[in-house]
Amino acid sequence: MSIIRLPELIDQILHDLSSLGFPILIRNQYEPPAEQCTLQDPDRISKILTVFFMQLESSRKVSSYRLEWDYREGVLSATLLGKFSPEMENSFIHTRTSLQCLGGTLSFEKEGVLFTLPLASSQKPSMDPSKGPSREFSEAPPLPPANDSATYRLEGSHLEKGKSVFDPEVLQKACPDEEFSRQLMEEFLSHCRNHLQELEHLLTDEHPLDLVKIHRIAHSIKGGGLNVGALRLAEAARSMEQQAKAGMLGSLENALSRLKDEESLLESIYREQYERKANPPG
Amino acid sequence: MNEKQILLAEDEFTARKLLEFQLKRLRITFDAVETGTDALERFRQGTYKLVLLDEYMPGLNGSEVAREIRRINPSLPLLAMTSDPEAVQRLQETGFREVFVKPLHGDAHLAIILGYLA
Repeated sequence: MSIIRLPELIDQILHDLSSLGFPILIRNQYEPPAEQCTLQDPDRISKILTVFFMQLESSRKVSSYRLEWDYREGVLSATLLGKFSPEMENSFIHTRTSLQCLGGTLSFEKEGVLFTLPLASSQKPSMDPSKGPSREFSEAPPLPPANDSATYRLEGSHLEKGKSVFDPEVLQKACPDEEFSRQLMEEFLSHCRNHLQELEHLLTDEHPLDLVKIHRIAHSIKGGGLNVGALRLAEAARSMEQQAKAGMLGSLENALSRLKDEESLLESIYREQYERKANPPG
Repeated sequence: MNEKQILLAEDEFTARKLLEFQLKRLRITFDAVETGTDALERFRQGTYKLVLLDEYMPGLNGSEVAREIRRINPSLPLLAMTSDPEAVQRLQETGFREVFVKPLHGDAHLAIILGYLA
C-alpha cells in the first residue's frame, strides 16, 4: 500500500508557504497527524490541505487556486495553480528551490497566461523579474508512467475576479427609493463598524474564542453586504464565516484585518459615489 | 386579536428592512420580528395567512419555530429564507412550502408571496 509521510510533507509546505510570504498563522494551531496516511485516505488529505488553502485565500495574495496531487511509483508531486499578486510572483522566484522538495510544479497566471514552472526539474529556469515569466516553462516535466498511481484534486471556493467594492445597482433593483437606500446604506455601515469592534474585542479577549458569535457576526456582515451591494466585503465576511465554522482559530485575525480593510474601502468608495451624485461636476 | 397577512422573522436588518419596504409597497400587512422566540410569541397573539422565517436566527431557528407553528396550525403556509443553497432540500423536507435563497434580488419571491395571499 502506498504511504505518504504527511507530517513531513505538511511541515515542508508550511515552511515553503511561509517563505513565500503567506502568513501561516495556523502553524501553532495545527497539529500534523502523528501517523502516516495512506492514499486510501483521500478525505483526510483533502481536509488537511483545505486548511492551507483557506489560509491562502484569506491572505489576499492568491485569489483562486487549484491543487493537484499525483502519486506514482513512490513519487508524490504537487501542482499548485493559483492567481498570485505581482508581489508574490517576485518572491516566488527566490524561494523556488525550497519548493523543489515537493517534486511538483508551481504555476501562476499573469496577464491571462498560465505559467507552470518545473520545480522538480534540474533545468534552471532563467527567470528574470524584469522580463517576466517566460512561456518556455509553461509545460511541466513529464511524469513517469502511471503505475500504482492516484490523483486527487482540490478546488477552492474563491474570490471571483473583478467583484465590486460597491455595486449601487444591487440596492436599486431591490428598492427604487433613493432616500430609503441611502439610509439603509448608512445604517449598514454603522452596523458594520460596530460588528468590527465587537469582532476585535472577541479576538483579543483572553477568554476562549466564542466561535459561534464570530460566525454569527460574519454571517450577518455577509448577508447585509450582499443586500446592499458591498460585494467584496461580503466575500471577506464569507471567508471569515467559513473559518469560524471550521474552527480555524489561527486565521481569524487575518480575516478580521481583511474585513476592516474592505470596510474602509467600501466606506470611502460609497461616500465618493454619493457625493459625486449629490454634487455633479459642472 | 391582531390580524395581519404575514408574520416575518429575520434577524439581519438589511434583509428585514428591504422586505418590509417591498411588502409595504404592495400594501401587504405584516408584523416583523428579529428572533425566532419573538416570532413564536407574536404568532400566539395574532392570526396570519402566511409565515416567512429566516432559518439562521439566534435562539430558535426558522425550522424550530416552524415545527411549533405546525403543531398549532398544521395547514398554515410556512416559507423559509436561507443564504445556504445546500439547506434548501432539508428545509423543504421539514415542511416549508417555499424556500427562498438570499440575497433576495429581483421580485420572484414577492410574486410567490402574493400567490399564497390571493
